[in-house]
Amino acid sequence: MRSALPAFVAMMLSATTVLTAEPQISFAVKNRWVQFTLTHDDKPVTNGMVRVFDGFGNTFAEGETGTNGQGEFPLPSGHQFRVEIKIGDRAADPIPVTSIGGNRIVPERVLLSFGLAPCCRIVSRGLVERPTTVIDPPPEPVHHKESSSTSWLPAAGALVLLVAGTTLILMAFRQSIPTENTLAKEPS
Amino acid sequence: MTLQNNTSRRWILLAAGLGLMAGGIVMGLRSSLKQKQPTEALPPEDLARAAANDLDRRNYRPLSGTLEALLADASYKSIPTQAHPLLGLAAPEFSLSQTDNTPISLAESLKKGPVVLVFYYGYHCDHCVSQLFALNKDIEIFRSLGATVLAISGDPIEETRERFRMYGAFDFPVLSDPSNTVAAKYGTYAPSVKAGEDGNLMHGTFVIDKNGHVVWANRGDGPFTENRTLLVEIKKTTTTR
Repeated sequence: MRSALPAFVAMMLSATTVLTAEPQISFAVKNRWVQFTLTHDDKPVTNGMVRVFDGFGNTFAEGETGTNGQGEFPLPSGHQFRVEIKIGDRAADPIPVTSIGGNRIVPERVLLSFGLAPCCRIVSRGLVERPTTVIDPPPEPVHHKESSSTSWLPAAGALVLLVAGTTLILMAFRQSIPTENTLAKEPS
Repeated sequence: MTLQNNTSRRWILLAAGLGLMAGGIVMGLRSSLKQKQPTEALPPEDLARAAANDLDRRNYRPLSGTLEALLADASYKSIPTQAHPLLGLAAPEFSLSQTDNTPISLAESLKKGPVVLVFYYGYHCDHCVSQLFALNKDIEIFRSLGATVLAISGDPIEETRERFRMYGAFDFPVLSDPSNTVAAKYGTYAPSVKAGEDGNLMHGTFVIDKNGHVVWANRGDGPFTENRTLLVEIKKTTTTR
């Protein structure tokens, strides 16, 4: 059991790493074709659905990544186009891509995000409220202080229980004295 | 019979007494733990120290070595940009006041070179402000690349000024965006859809090239403390565009 514990901890740590690292896509332009590679933890993503939209929002190309996580499409005309990726049931946030001079595009690498949205409500100036779904939450400022009039009640209750317990134990020992007397009397 | 009665009575009293004592001890311990929790969660007394602790938890270490060595290290894997609607587009212009009430605009800052724009929650909790401490430690390296660092939050000027008085100022402009108007333009703040409710915000870091285009963006619920990645991205803007 002891030897299994470090292995379990290591497994949990590696699971955390997987949870936090999102897939990446890298782009390169060659002969006016955009070549891309979809990876997750440096391994190819084979089931990635990729859709490309031109500057007018029309579907320009679509397809699935191959076994090497790669794919390609002709460079759309115009200054900007959009790439949308879906891996399994997860749709990544759309990537706006800018073409520079027909032989280069930016960004060249993108860390995919999924439904990235503002995370925290501003409760009031100086306080930030975090939703319950956030992974690895850092310590947050508390929003209210426990009232001082009620905080001593459990302590007082504990004291009462301790006193009552001690009293009962003492009573139990006192009971033992007359018991001995009774025992002494019985044979006669 | 009396012997049995007395013995069992004694045992019952003993058991009840011990049970009550145990209950009292447990209750006392729980009460003391409960009283500790709010103290720990309260805004830390020393925000600067708390921010330093937050950076430690995030494994932040100040950059060491020359700028050339940092950028030449091929083994370093920089963090790619996230998808952001502003990528490749002109960064929204703004002019905001810093702690001495003088305004600073993005356009003015871009005349000096690329800009690293940081949206932080405000100077009121450890992770809210820790990125500014990390940037401050490496600020000279950013300057050596000709980059300007600007930090923006919804904190009123007076509040930032008070924090500076308490913990010392940062070596870069810290700007006030009390209505979060600029943050909304950069997608790090979303106003509430319900009237009377406060909005939602995110940490956000942007690299803007000297031509005013957003070339790298990162948003999320934690501060971005990988300064080396920012240096790599700034360097790219000076060599490829």
